[in-house]
Amino acid sequence: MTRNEPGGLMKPARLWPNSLSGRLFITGALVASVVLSLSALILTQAYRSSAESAFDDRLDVYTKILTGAFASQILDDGEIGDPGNTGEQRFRQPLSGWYWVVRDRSDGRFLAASDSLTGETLDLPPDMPFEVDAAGLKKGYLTGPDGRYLRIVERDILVGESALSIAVSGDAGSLQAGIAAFQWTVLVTQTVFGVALVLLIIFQVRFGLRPLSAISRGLTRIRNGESRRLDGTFPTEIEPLVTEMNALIQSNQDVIDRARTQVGNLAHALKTPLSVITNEADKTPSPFAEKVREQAVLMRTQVQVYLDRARMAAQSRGSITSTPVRPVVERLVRVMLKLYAHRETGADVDIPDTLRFSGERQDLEEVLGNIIDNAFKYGARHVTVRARLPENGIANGLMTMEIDDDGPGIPLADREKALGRGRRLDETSAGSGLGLHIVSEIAELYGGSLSLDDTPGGGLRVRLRLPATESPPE
Amino acid sequence: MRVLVVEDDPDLNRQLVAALKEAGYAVDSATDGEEGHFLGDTEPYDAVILDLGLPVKHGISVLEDWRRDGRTHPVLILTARDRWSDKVAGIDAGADDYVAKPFHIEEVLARIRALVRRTAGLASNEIACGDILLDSRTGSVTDGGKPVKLTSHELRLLSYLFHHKGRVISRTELIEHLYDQDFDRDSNTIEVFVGRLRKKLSADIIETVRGLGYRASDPQ
Repeated sequence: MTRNEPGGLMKPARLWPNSLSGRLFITGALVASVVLSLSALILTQAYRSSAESAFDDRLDVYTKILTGAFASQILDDGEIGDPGNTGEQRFRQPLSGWYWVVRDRSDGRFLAASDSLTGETLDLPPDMPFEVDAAGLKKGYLTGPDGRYLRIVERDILVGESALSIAVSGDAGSLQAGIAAFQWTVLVTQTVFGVALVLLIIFQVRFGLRPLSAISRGLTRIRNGESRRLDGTFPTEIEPLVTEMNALIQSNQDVIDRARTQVGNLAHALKTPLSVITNEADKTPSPFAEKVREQAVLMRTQVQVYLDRARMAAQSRGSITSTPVRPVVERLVRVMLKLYAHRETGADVDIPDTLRFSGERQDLEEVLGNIIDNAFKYGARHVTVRARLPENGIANGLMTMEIDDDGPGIPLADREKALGRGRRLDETSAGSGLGLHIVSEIAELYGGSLSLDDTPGGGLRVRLRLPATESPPE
Repeated sequence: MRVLVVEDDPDLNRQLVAALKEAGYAVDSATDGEEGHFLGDTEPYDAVILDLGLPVKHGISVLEDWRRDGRTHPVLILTARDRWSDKVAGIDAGADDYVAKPFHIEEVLARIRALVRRTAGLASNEIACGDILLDSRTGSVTDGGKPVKLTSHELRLLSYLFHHKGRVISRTELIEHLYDQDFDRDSNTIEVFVGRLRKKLSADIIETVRGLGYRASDPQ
């Protein structure tokens, strides 16, 4: 009874639990139960047979003694009487459970009985449909007078012309007690074994499946960007899976790298001709040249926008990278200090060492490069870059970065424009305005956001939220 | 001032060289990283324009090697992709400024001027020596407010001396920084131009330091 799941996975119906541990445990427990129960049954049965056999042998001794006694009596005077000392006192104790009776086989008449019977009769059916063993001894259980449970054997003998049956019974109580005691022992032992086996199965399952949790941990590390493949040795059954997984990760990365190379090549190929066109147009001003220039700039912007989108789309489908934030910021600040050395602007960086951005370094550099460049360009004395860890430490929660400058800030009314696309707020600086629209778009493509605010000192605060994780402490 | 242009695209290379020459610089050019690296290593330049995406040897690699070998000439990198990753990589490797393609030629010229100025420790585009004022942006020279007409070679010489005002410049250094490598260097040329400059300028601001070279300084 199976169902086809989408993707071609066949799952057995709800008979089996949906967990390897569960399956292993239940099969183990079932097998253990069956084996233990069967062995308990077999052991008990064997013991029972053995005990009964031993008891029957004891009783058979008396049939032989009695046979001897009666045979000589019959040969002497043809009558059966007291057999004398049989060696068993209980044949004389009233209702002891130890009885003997002699019957005439031809008509079933009771010829003699032990004193212990005290005149009662044993309810022996004429045919005595008991089991017969190989030696011709009939044996079985019987309920005697006063309800006592008896074990009885009977032997058919022929003395002269008399066909007799001599039956000897013993109190089955002790026999039963012995068997019951054994059964109890077996039960207790098997239960203890059962519990031990269950524990052993649990341990075996846990231990056996431990490599799977190693895989799970390895995949988490990959997802956090701390590693790019599953490292380590794995059991031979799982090794192919691990190899394939690493190959898959690698091929995903190759796809992205190829896409990026193609994209990069396209950018390179287009930008130089655009540069040439722009400069030629600048040389001979004319309405035509102006038009050419304007369109070339538009082309460049559009190319950039779509190339960025293509790259990020390829990224989100496969690549799982993470970039430590602090080194990127420090490098950017170092570069800005060099580029704006003549302004003597100072900078502060306050970022936890464990903070990692869940994305490519280039994208973080692009976003922060634009923002920090603006901060230096429009800041007067000081720029601060700080970041806070993602809330609750959840993987791919959002971190908050704040880049403050002590410059003039952006008036509330102009902020929307600054974040808008293709619009330049500052016409005097080289480059495409503040570049905040690019930053905003990248942030949104990553599932984050960009917003503008005031610092207490009146400068601009750029608040950037991006997916981030915290690398575990070393 | 002597500038090196390392750019593999022939059209762009030609445009840059032409624009720089017109602005009064002596220009050498290379079209691949290895050639560019060699030139930067062996010749003295006042500024270098370095494209990053070069054949044979990558721009970043050229830059790193220059800095490691102690070459301190200011470098302006050209980035094909206007990405901060490239700019950061370039600046961190030792470049001093960047320009992204596509660019205005004027922007390149302005940044080169700024780099040369900053290397000389000058704060503004105007350098004065007594009454003589040089505007490095426009290339105009005024003497007490009156414009002075100089040939391109004379201007180059004056500009170099002014940028290194107060320092004695040897004849060799002047030759190396004023002429590109194809120029047929005759050691007399410098004397001729110094003589002509002195004639055109009212004050005695170019000093001959016997056996060592020339120096531009404020008149005593």
